This record gives sequence, structure tokens and C-alpha cells, in this order.
Amino acid sequence: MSGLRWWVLVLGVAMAIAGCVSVSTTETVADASALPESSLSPSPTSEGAEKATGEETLVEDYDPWAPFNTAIFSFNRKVDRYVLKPVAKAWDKIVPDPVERSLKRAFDNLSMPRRLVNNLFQLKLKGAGQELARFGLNSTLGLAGLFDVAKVFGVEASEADTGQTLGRYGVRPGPYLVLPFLPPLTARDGIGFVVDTALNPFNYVIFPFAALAGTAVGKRVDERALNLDLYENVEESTVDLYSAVRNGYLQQRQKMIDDLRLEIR
Amino acid sequence: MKPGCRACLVLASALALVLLTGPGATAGPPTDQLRESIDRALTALADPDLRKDIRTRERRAALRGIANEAFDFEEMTKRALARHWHGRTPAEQKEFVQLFADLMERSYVSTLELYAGEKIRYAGESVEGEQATVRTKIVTKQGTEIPVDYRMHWRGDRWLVYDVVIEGISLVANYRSQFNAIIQTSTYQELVARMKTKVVSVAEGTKEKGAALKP
Repeated sequence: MSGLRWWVLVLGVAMAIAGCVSVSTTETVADASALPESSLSPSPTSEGAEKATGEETLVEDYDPWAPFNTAIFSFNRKVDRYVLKPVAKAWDKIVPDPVERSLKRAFDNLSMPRRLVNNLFQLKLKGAGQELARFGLNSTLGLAGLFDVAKVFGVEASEADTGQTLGRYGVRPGPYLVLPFLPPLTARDGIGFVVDTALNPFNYVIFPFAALAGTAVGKRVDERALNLDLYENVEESTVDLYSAVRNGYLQQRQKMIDDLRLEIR
Repeated sequence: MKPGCRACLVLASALALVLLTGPGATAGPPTDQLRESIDRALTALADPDLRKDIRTRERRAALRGIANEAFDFEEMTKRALARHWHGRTPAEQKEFVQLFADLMERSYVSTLELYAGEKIRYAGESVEGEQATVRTKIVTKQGTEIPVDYRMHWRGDRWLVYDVVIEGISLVANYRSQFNAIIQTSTYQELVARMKTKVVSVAEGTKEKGAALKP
């Protein structure tokens, strides 16, 4: 039991940071089935989908757990303000930017299994190939991922996670979900998150939880430090941060999944 | 040596696949017009005379002029308020357009400032009657590309931007959900009050930030 508790604690701490103001994710609860008819047009983006959402109609973000979510959201914000941000600021002062970015790359390199497995499940064979090639190049020539050598060769990362894979096969996002120390999620993406965590090789080394905690916290601090200005910018330009983050998360997730479905057709 | 060969093969084919992709993008009037506005905004941002912190006000004024020519703020407000737009008096509507324009402008300008010195790549456009989408990428110094799409429509004599989509997030839709959340939990008046304080605090915040940057 103590193991489990550890795990939860670690996860929470690690990601609380991100969760607080992780600005980057949303999806309007527009039916996933409402795929654009114009998907056959030569343009690879989903303009059709964008237009189809109908700017004038007010589609509310699906958030039946709002009371719970709001409470956790404000808790996460406090963690961000009193713990994550100060630590990230100090970190930012001590550590030069190039080192911060190298660390980020090393963390990204470690999440290769998550991306590889999900590229395969999403039938993105090219993406899977890119991930393999990147991992091979960056782990060796790139010194354990500190340097992105693969990019020099034009091999870009192919982002993919389990929540996306589920969405690609028609699983609806379900209710919006905010958990302590974690970035915004939906019920579907929460399940995806658990699977993705299991795909992180750091969970299987000798002291799994300590290592997970270490990397998760390190990663969070590092990313927060890299984005100090960006977060401030977002806080500055919103009138209601909770719904801004929720909508941002839901929109972005929906877009990713729409794009995936278009690619595959 | 077989496994080694296979690894090489995978690597090589992965590389080949990557090299084979090539987007064909043509620029048209919407792109040209947008590029012109963005270039002018970037020039204003880089102007050494305007760059000093004290000149923030003048700089904002210069940028506002450019923004007013490029953005259709009334359309953006209509879309962002959605059904709440219709119940307002013309005076209220006008006031809100102004407040929202201030907020959008500031957040867009701080975004531009954040990426100052980074390249903007125009990645193509699609035009459908009087609607157009211009796709751009902000290329950061680290080589990361941030997709920023501009949705535009033809109004009389020129193309005007009515929404900006950053990394898949429509700004108008995002504000719509914020406005709706506030109106539903309290009132329209409360929303206006919050917008007003926000506009003031954003202006002050930038000043402080500017000062703090100079150690």
C-alpha cells in the first residue's frame, strides 16, 4: 500500500506543477462524429472541422464535475504559485538556458516508448519509424538525448499518447477532469495518462518510485522554467483562467484527434 | 550482423520517408495582406525609439493603428459573446468591442514580443469565397514551430482577421467560453467590470515586467 501511496504522491507533485497552468489543452464538446465533409480537399488541415464547429453557436465545454474540478484547479494554482514557480525561477537563475533545454530533450527522449507504441496503434508507421530513428540517434550520438541530433537529419518527433489513440478509435473524451498536481485531463485522457505512465521506462528501474518522482519533478520544474514568460502572458490575457485552460485543453485535444482521423482516411 | 542491418534499414527508410514530404504552398491576397500587417507590427516592435519601456504607451498606440486595419474586432466580439451579444444595447456592444479589442491586442502583442526576433513562416492559405485561412508558423530560436492560423473574411475592400488559432486553440472560442462562464455564474456587468480591471492591470503589469527586465 505504501508503494501506491508513494506513486500517487509522486505523480501529484510532479505534475501539479504542470497542471496548475498547463495552458495548452482543450476541446469543444462538439461531436467527434461531426467530421468535416471537406476532408477530401487537398489541404491537410482540418479547416472543415474548424468551420463546422460554428462560431456563432455556443457549444459549452462538457464539465459535469465542475465543483470538484474548480476546487482542485485552485489547489493546483496555489501549488504553482507557492512551490513550482519559485522553484522554477530559482532553477532558471542557476541553470543556463541551453542546459534547461538539453534536460528537456533528455526527458523527451525517455518518453519514446509512449510515442512509439501509440504511433503504431494509430497506424502512423512513418511516425513510428521516426521515433525509432530518433531514439537510436539521440541516445547514442546525442548523448542520452541531451542533444537532438536526429533533428539535424530532419527526423522530427512524432507526438502520440494513449488518450489520442483512444480518441482515434472513437472513444469520446467524457467529462473534463482536473486532478491534483496533474495537467488538465478528460476521463478518457486520464485513462490514457495511466497507460502512458506505465510506458515510461523509468518506472521499471531499481527504485521505480524515487526515480519517477525525481524525473517527474525535474521535468516539471524544467518545463516551467522554460516557460516563465509564456505562463505569465496567459494569466495576463485571460478573464477567467479556469474556463480558459479547460477550453484550451479541450480544443487542442479535439484538433489533434480530428487531424489524426483525417490523416488516416 | 542481421539485427544491425535491420536497424540500419529502419533508420534509412525512416529518413527517406521524412525527406519525401514536401508541402506546396501558394501565397495569395490574404497572405500578402496579413504579411504586410505583421511586418509593420514587427517593425514597430523592433523600433529602438519605441522599444524603451517609457514608450510603451506610444508603442501600443502605433500597434493599435496597425491592428485596427488588420482585425475585425466587432466580428470577433460578436462571435465571442455569441448569444449574449444580442441582448445588449448598441452602446454596451460598442463598449465591449473596445474592451475586448484592448485585451486581444495586448495579449497578441505580448505574444509577438515573446517571440521577438523569431521567424514567421507563411505556410499556405485556403480561400473559399469570402472566407480564408492563412497558415503561419512561428519558428523559435530552438527550431520549434508554433502553428498560428489566421481566419479572415473579405469585408468591402480588404481581408480582415476575425480569429487567430494558436496551436489548435481558437482565441475567439477560448474567450467565448470564458465570457460565458462569467455571465452564467454572475452577470454581464461583472464581466465588463472584470474586463476593465484586466485592461488596466495588463497595462501596469507590462510596465513592471519591462522594468524588472533591466537589472
